[in-house]
Amino acid sequence: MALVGSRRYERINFLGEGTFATVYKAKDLLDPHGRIVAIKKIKLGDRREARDGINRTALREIKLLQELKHENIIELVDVFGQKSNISLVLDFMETDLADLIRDNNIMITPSHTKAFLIATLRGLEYLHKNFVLHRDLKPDNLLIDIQGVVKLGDFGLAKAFGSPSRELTHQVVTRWYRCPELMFGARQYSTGIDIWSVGCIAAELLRRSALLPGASDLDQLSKIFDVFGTPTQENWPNHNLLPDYCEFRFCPGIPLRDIFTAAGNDLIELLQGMFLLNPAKRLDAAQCLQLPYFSNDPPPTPPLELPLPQKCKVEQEKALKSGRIGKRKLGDAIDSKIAKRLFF
Amino acid sequence: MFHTSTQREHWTFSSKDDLFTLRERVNENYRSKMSSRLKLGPSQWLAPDEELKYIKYYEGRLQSFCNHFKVPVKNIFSLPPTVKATAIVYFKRFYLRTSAMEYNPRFVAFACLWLATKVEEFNVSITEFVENLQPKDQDECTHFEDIILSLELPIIHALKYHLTIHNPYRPLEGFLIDLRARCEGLQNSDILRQNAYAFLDKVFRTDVPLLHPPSVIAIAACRQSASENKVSIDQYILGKLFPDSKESPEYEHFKTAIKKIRSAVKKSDKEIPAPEVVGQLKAKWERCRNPDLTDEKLVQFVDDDDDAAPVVETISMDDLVDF
Repeated sequence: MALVGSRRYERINFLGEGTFATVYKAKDLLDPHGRIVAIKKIKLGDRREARDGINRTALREIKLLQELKHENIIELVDVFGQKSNISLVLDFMETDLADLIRDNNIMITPSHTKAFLIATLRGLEYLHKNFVLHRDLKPDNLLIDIQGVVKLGDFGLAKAFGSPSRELTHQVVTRWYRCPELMFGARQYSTGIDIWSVGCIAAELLRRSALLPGASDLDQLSKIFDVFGTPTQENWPNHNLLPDYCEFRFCPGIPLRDIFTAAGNDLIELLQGMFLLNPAKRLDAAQCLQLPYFSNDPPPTPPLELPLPQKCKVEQEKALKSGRIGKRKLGDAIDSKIAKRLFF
Repeated sequence: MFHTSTQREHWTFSSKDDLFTLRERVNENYRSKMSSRLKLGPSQWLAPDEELKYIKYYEGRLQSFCNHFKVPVKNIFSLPPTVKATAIVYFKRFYLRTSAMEYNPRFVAFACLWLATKVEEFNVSITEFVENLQPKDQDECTHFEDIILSLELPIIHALKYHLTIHNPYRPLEGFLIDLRARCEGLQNSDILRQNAYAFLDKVFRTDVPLLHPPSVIAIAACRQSASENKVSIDQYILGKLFPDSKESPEYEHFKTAIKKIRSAVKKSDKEIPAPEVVGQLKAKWERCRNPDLTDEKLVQFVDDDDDAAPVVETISMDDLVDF
């Protein structure tokens, strides 16, 4: 029998259950190396639960991921349907950046941080070039595969942008990573919202805790202005015209250098560019990647040498030994010098 | 980006012949699958050209259904053109992979629009949607809802889970802006919009969306509208879009495409069959349709959640064609 649909995958174990999907770990029988995948089975439920049919979040994920192919974006390997359900086959991801940040046994060096940021910004640059906003970037959605490659995941909130006539909802992005224009209720926004989130993620990599952990929407704004100062007409013209604008007590802000005392000038420059209050001035992903920080020393750590939680490291070593991952599969992803070192 | 899209790779065909071959195969495949069950004489099945006419009829109905669709959203009075276009493209693609004798095109048309509203993020609830079908009572309303929802899966399966549609409306708006800025003597490019939209309406009655990229369709619409408005944009096309390649193969290719699109649109009125023809086709269709997929049976499928159930097998093209 042909290996199509569900027959192509051998279930390994149950991974978890969300509101609209159950996720399994499985082996791709069509892949010569027995690639490990995650199968997200979308629940359709009966008519009373699924009033409007196939879940819109799932549709969004299918619609967008089918069109996106990039090293730093989670790959939709396959989609298959059965009589009354639908399954998304995705790259299996070992862990995510949130796990890594929380793991006290892991040390995150400047080289690691640089590698994580390059991967994130490359994925984001590609996404924005394709007119897609992620709208929910946070450490939990920066997934890491068994080879240490960081990929943007969870496209349930993602959306195409660039149609001037359509208004967008401002109720997106997990609060701690939400930019000031969204907090002020902007209905027309752009790539800057994702860049702000990356700024928050970068800060969190350095501090090992969230930079702006707002307890409420109002608190979020005051946390933002405590650090970056209240906006002025000079640094952010017309911010007071946004729908949910409210005035805050003047705050001068704190120089980033005083918060990130161990960071070099080049990294501070990057953070400043990502945290500009005015979304029109905030750097885009391509501009960020052009900054000296990314070409200066120390160089970013190659994916396979990046830290992983202990149990993932064990899996990685097993996979390397068995040849399921290694030089050949890595060849096009990273340069050969690194691959050579790995294969001894 | 259209360039790297599934639309370009999987759903933009190089010629009408390709479409013809596909439709013929879908037809043949259905007959051979059903012949032992239905026991019909050779002329009792819908032939490929009849099948196409039958589909065209429902495509026309879908278009007018869209035009009269009552939108439950405040301050919006009609469906956005992109939702309409996406629905029609879904419908066209579906019947490149499935015979009209399988699923009832009447409901497939509605279900394509339903799916398009979801994918294009034009949020309408299923109940609001079905009100547009003017059900006579609550039971019929629920019945319509059930049929439409039961078709979601077979449709997206036939679409190979490729849901992003690149429509010509966005490039059209882009061209109008560019024309304003870079086309001499056409500062008011907005005058082109109305007729260009009318042209695109006709485009969706034809196979053009399966054969040409959206940007080329959009420029064809601009050019047609320009000539109807007694202005010319040829200077712009030559000077700005193909600046130094009047003789190049790209330009030749482009010219041929524009010509093909225009001639297809000219014939678009003839695409919709006359009512008496439809009546005959419908009578024929009733006899050769798939008895497992009647509206009543479709609804029964909905609650059947069996993990071991096979991949939707009713789509007949999988093993035959891989395009």
